[in-house]
Amino acid sequence: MRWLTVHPVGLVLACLTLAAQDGGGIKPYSQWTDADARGILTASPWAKANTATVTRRLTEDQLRDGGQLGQPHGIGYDGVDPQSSGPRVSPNILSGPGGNDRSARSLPRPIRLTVVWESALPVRLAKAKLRAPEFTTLEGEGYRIAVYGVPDGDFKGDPKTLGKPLRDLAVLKRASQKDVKAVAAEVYKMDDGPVVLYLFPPSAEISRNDRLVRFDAQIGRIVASQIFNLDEMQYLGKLEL
Amino acid sequence: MPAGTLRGVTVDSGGFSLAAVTVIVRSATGAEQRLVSDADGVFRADHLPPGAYAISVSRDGYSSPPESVVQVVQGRTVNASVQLAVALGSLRGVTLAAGGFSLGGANVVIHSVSGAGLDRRLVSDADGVFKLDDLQPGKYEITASKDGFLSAPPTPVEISGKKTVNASVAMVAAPNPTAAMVAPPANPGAMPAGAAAPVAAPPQQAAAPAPASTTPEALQSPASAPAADQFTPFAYADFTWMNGTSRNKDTVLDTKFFTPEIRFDTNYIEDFNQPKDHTIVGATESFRSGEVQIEQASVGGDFHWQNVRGRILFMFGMFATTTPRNDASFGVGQWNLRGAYKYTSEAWGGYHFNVNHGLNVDAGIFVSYIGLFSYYNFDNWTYQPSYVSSNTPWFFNGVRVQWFPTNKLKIEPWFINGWQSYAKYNGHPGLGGQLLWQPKEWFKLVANQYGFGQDNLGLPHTERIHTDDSIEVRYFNRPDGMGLDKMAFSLTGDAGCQYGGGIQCTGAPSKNKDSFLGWMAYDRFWFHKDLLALTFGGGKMSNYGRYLTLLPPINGADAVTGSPYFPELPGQKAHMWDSTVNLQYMPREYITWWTEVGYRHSDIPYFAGRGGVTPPGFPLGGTNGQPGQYACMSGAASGFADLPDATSACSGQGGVWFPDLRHSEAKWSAGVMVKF
Repeated sequence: MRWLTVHPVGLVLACLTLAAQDGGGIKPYSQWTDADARGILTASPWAKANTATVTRRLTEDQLRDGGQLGQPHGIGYDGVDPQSSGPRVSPNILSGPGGNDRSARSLPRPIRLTVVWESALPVRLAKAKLRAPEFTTLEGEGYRIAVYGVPDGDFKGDPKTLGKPLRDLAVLKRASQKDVKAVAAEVYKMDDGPVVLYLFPPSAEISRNDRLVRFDAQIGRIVASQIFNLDEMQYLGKLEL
Repeated sequence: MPAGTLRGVTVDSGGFSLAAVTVIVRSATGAEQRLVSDADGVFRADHLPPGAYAISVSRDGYSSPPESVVQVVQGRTVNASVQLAVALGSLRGVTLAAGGFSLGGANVVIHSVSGAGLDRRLVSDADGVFKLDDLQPGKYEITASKDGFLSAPPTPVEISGKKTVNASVAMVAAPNPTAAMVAPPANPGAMPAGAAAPVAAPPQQAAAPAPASTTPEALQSPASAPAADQFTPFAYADFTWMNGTSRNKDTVLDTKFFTPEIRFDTNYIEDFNQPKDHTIVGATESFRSGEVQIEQASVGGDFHWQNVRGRILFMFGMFATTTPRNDASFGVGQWNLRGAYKYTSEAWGGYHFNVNHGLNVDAGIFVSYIGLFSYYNFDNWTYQPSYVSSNTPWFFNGVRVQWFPTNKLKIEPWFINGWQSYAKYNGHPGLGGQLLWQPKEWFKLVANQYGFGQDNLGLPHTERIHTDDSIEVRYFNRPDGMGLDKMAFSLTGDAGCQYGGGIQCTGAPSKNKDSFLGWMAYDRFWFHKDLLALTFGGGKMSNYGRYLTLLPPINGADAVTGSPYFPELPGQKAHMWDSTVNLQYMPREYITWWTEVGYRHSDIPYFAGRGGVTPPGFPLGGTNGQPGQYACMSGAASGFADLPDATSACSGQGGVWFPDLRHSEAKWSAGVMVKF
């Protein structure tokens, strides 16, 4: 990650500081095992298992009515439909299920994702401990949220090109506050699947008073929504985002 | 010893004072003073030695904030106000199928009975588990649904602050599951062997289930819950119930570059007037009586590569003859445009720009949706639409721009050759546009406007204006209903006129009035999960000047030749109405069997009677080759378009022949339509 490369001294100091203190519900960094670090990255206040929705596949008529021709391609479109989920044409045209005659892919279905608040210090520490792959091209300061688990597909391109169409489809929501739109999005094709990384501006100034922040994103046909509880995202009594 | 004072107010998360809060003030030495805030939330501790004091608060039903520390100063009153938030409760639940098996991927709705908060929605995970940790205390009812399962009675729960309530929500498998249509579960491992298999959902449930949103009430609103594609235009809901819209739910075959489309439409129509030449007149959907006819056989599809796009749909069958004959612009100039285009119902190419929710510029022949119904009968609620649809354009030839400023709105201007015309009749092109607004799944508003065009052969100074506006409303929807499952209606109103060149929009018919007023309304009922649909409807039109009245094909007449038997002159009236009942049987998404009865009436002789509209003899395949002239009883052309001269010319041939035109027509028809 860029912040790891830009601020290595700061991170080391943070590690040393944390090692000497109690973690406030999370063990001190010095006591972390690899399993603890993995827990931070998969199931923690900063990393949430998410059940998102793969929206139904539109027909050509529906696409055309919406001004588009052909199924869209790219992340969130390619690879999201299971094999053999398309329509089956029966030679029996005299009887059938009527409106229930539809393919699996024409219905929405849930999909499991993991949404991680990447810029939070515990997440950065955990990734450093596990030597997890870093996202090196997304520039700028702010809140970074990554989505893991999006199906891979036959799409190619650099992270910025792949992420460009996703930038305007992600937002942070808080009660009684204006929505915060992402200012950048990039897509990284990792060994275990693509990762979508969003950058939200620091001007959002998320504070503990916000209590809850909802992350909404549309990635192709995948629509995800994840709540983060700011009360839980404390480390040493300090909000870590 | 000099002392200070500590004073504070206990408030809730909204900033309002909160009474009866226990406040503990603890000094550095460990001495505690217990206070209770008054009715205004005020608490006060006097005579405190200077120093640091820890303040902690508590009250039932509220979360205690972290202990705060204040510094009491000699002779001063120190503020120590504290804010408490309502303690939220937790819910842990599991969705279960019959036999107690966990059922993953179920849509769970947590309804607030006590009004403590808004309804919450989420999806149970692969193990059927769902959790919420931020519920306002109060009473709730939990229901769950999943494709192929019916909800059991709601499960009541009561949530208290800081406590976790466990609940299980049972669902039962829907009757008559259809194994062939089983939708694969999100996680195959979540469905144990022996559990009931889920069947595919009815089409009305195409809106995506809510994702596992745990949005707090303050953040949540139905509109903001991203349960569906909120970017692609008109993708947020399922509009396939609408008239003029294909009901297909999936595309059988498509590739990265081309998506084919195939349509077959065959009918049998029985005109109870029993025209001996089997010719039905006055419609763009019904043409021959007592015969099996192929109305449309089309092949083609959409070409798409990145943002470049194109569509072509060839048109064979009756449409290849019956549609071009209504276009008189073919009579302008050379190159036989009718021949050039007769087998083409759509052919356009263009480019998609990534502006807002999409911006397209396309040029070529494209279908018109003036009159609500689709040109292609498979997409429609009835086979024979009313005049407002049947007599208005099915295609335009020109350029269109489609702009989608939001995902629920389309603005589509047209720059076209004219009113359903291959060519430009006179000096002006036609200008127009469509505004389509579908703010809800159950509602559609479409408004088509047209003007500027000079769309009359030989009338270079007469312009046409027209407005066509429709709404469609689905007012009942119960997708799981085995009886009546859906009801909807459409209502269309049209108005237009021609003016200039001695023709006027208003006034007495004798003053060359050319005007059009019409409406049509349809009500449709779906049964047994859309297996059957019954539609009632009809409409009316008043068309002075008959410029939108379809010319009967008397002796082979078309829009260019005209017919002396049915003149279409300024001021001539044509008032007509019709009614239709249609039953469709739709066992598969790509096939429709249908039957229909209809009655049409005109205040002028218009519909083919027993004698038909073909002169005797049929020397040239149903026409003597001179449809613009009166025909003689021998079948030969009289050589004249005026009756006195024709009477004289035909005196030696049995006199002048007249078509058998009646005031009314009743039809029964049936057919099958296929669309892939």
